[in-house]
Amino acid sequence: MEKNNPEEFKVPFSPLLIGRYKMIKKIGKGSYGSVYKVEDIKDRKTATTPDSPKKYFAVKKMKLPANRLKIQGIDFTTLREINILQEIKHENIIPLVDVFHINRSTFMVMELMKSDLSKLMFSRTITLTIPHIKCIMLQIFYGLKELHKNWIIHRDLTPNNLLISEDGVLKFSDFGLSRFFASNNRPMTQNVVTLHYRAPEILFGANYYGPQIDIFSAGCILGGLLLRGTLFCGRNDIDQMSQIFKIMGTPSEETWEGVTNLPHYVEFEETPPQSFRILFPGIDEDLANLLEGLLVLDPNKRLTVEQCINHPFFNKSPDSCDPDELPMDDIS
Amino acid sequence: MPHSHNEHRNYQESVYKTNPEYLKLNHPSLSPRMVSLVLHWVQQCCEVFYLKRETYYLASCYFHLYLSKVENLKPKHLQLIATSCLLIAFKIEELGLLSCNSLVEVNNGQCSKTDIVVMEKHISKTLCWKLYPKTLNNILGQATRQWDDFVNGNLRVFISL
Repeated sequence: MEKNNPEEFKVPFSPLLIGRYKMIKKIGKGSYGSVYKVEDIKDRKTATTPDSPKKYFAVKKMKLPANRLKIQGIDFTTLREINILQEIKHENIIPLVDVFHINRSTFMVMELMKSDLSKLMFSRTITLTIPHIKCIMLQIFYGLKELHKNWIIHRDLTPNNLLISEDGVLKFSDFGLSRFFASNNRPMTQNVVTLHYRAPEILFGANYYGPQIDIFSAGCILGGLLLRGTLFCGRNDIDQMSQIFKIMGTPSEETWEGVTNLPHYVEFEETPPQSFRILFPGIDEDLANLLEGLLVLDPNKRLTVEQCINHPFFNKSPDSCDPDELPMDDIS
Repeated sequence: MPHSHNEHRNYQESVYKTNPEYLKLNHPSLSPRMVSLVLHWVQQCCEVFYLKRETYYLASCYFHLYLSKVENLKPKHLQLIATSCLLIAFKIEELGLLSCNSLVEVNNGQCSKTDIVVMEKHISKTLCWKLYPKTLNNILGQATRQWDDFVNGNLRVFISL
């Protein structure tokens, strides 16, 4: 039946993966590898009516590590990512359907999502109202709550990694940088989180940090949603820090205990903190308060996920809209 | 708020459950002595490569979990399984790369690189990719840290009196 469709033949990929998933097209690419849209054939064969709805999935093909001449087995970042996705099942975390290998590549089958948050954020045609923003932020916090509850830090929270399904449900993806922070006191790497969403303690080279870095990224996303652009858009580490301090004020021992002892601490020209109500004219006090709480420089004073969810901003009218009311249709 | 440590441990115990009787029930051709020999060999490997203590404990966890999930293994497979477990544990726990070549070397060439890699895939698939068990080493470390906290908090006052 599918053979009659001439378009199917133009797809240059091998048509079937492990006899079950039919490649349709490439939908994304990143440092980790590439993502393809596939159709699940297995269920179609067993279905009694041939007209049953087609099942689509996204397949993430993990890139082989750089030294591909040596056989090293499964790449360790892949191993850790699959692991973490296995541990947690939640509405706001992308579900892993299947894992398989072909030759030396690892493939991860995940739910197919319509879009990601960055498209919504940077679109010029979509207007985002306060209920929309509440809905998006609440979903981010619910996902983060589940992660932090299971002792996992995401470490790469950006709008690109927040996928949105057709009904407007936000899902976290790309756990390649995530790690458990439960009970080992191992030093952590500073080479995490996309620069524009990186928390100040990582920029200062702290060896130990906690789930607060995800909260800072969430704060950057909230700022981005209001600004409809990137809140802190630095060109390099130093520029990024100066951009953050321009708005949040320079840190000192009084505002952030122990900041001068951090490995990469640099002194900046002193600037006083600015009020978010001046930066974003027209936002109400609670929203400014939440934004400030998310972006506090001292990680110990930053809000926790729990505090964010219970923040007065979310309890006030206008109420958060339902996920399916998000303006999804306008995304091209 | 994260789960408390105890809650997390209970959850982990329910997920990573080994069958203590696996030798009798699943593998009639294996003896406890063989298993202990193989694990001792893994210990020696860790010494040769200067690996962390945690890596060995992780590897032994995978080994027991895998053996309680499969059936009828032959004694000659044990070393290959242990090698692959060590490789996975290395990837989960340590930084850097442990080359398969050196693993083949410590194996005296009993198995090839491809053997190790194929076994690695099979093990991770059998364990359903759940590779973060709480090891003995981990629990002990946590207990000693709690003791240290207790000493620093309470006993110091007591001693100074």
